[in-house]
Amino acid sequence: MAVLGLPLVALIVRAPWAQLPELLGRTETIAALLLSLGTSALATIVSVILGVPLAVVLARSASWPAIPRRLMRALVTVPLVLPPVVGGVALLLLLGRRGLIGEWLNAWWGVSIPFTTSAVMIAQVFVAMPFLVLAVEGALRSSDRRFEVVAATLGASRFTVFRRITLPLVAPAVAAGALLTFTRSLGEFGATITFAGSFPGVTQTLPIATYLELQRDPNAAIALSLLLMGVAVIVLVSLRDRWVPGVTA
Amino acid sequence: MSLSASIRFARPGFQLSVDVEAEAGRTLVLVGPNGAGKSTTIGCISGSVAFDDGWIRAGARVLDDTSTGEHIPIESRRTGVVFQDYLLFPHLSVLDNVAFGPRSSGMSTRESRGRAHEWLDRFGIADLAGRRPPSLSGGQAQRVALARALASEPDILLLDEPLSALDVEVRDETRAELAEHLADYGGVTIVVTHSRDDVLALADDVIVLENGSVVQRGAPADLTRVPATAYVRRLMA
Repeated sequence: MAVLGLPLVALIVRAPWAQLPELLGRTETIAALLLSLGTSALATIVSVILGVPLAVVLARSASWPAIPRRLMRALVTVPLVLPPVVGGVALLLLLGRRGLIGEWLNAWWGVSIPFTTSAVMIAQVFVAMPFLVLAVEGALRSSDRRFEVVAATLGASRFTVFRRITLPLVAPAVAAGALLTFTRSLGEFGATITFAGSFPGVTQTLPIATYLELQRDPNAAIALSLLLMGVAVIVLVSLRDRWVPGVTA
Repeated sequence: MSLSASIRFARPGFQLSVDVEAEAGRTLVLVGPNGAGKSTTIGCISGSVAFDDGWIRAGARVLDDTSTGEHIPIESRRTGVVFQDYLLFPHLSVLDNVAFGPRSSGMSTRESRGRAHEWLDRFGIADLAGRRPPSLSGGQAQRVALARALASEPDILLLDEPLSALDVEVRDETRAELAEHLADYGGVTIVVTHSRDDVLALADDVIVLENGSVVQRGAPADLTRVPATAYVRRLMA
């Protein structure tokens, strides 16, 4: 417990409380905060849009052959265990100016993704979406599929069953997963700084700003850390009663 | 309209072979010990269980025929089901549970809720309309599940152990009420049970299943008079 708790205590004890309003009111801080909140929110929305269908496919894959099924599961889990920096390097190799896809994006459309705000969001989706997928998949697996049978006997098409029964039944897991995705995105550092760099106002998110401030103005770094911790606490409190099996398992 | 089915179903360690004829306006009770194949049979009829060989016809409509590959999906079979544990949608109010079928048939939200209200009135449970299923008693949930199944106006109504989840005190009363509602219903009714009381109170015709085969068919009185097996004798004693 001491290992887990004391660092946070130190953070709170050493916080420059008197200077806090001034430190947090700086334009760079607010820019970094808004950038972080904005990209994380967007990353969460994208994760829900892409992740829920993926979770459905995973949860319904029991009848598939073993190899594609395991391969897909591994692909979803990899970002959870992969060092974020490696994720960032991989994203550069895919979407960078000379990347597998990036080269064509650049040649055909003149689009270059690395070191833009979009890159920040893509890095966050890569790192954080698995949390949502696994939470929703767990809930889908444990939900009673006979509800779907009953809905079908009442004349509901497959789409209606999904929209009015399947999805609402796992809605708490979608919410919990989205919240975890959001916090993971908010804290994302390694993949972001590798793939998107650190341009103030464009790609310099709150964690990156915190790291840089530590070398320039430690008090500012502490203030930013408190801010990030505050957001984490808010999320933790709102999750308290909605911890779903798929997330904890 | 009548239901006619011939079902052959094989899985490792289990074989089911059953022919069913059921008339509209009558109640057929499928009775037998656990694992006899009763629930599998109505699963095949509802379309949620695929069988290996045979056919199912509802009047002139072919619901399944393995020789031609015909199969009508669950949502188009016009088959209502009441499960043992009722399976009311926990996130919808009682009213919206009952309105689900009419709504799925293309009615507007308002029309379907109006239809649902009529059913709740007919069942004497209009006061439950705004409640959530988890707050209902077993007897109330059973009534709602039946109203929900009937509100989509099925040709065939399948009840899988509709009373076994209830406390003994409310079971008799609920059974009597169920018998009345089934008497009012014009379609084919099939009830799965392993209770003698259900057989006597609900059945016009009975099929006894043991180990996946039919061992006796007849009226309830036939079972009492000439029980075909030891199981039937014990059941009706």
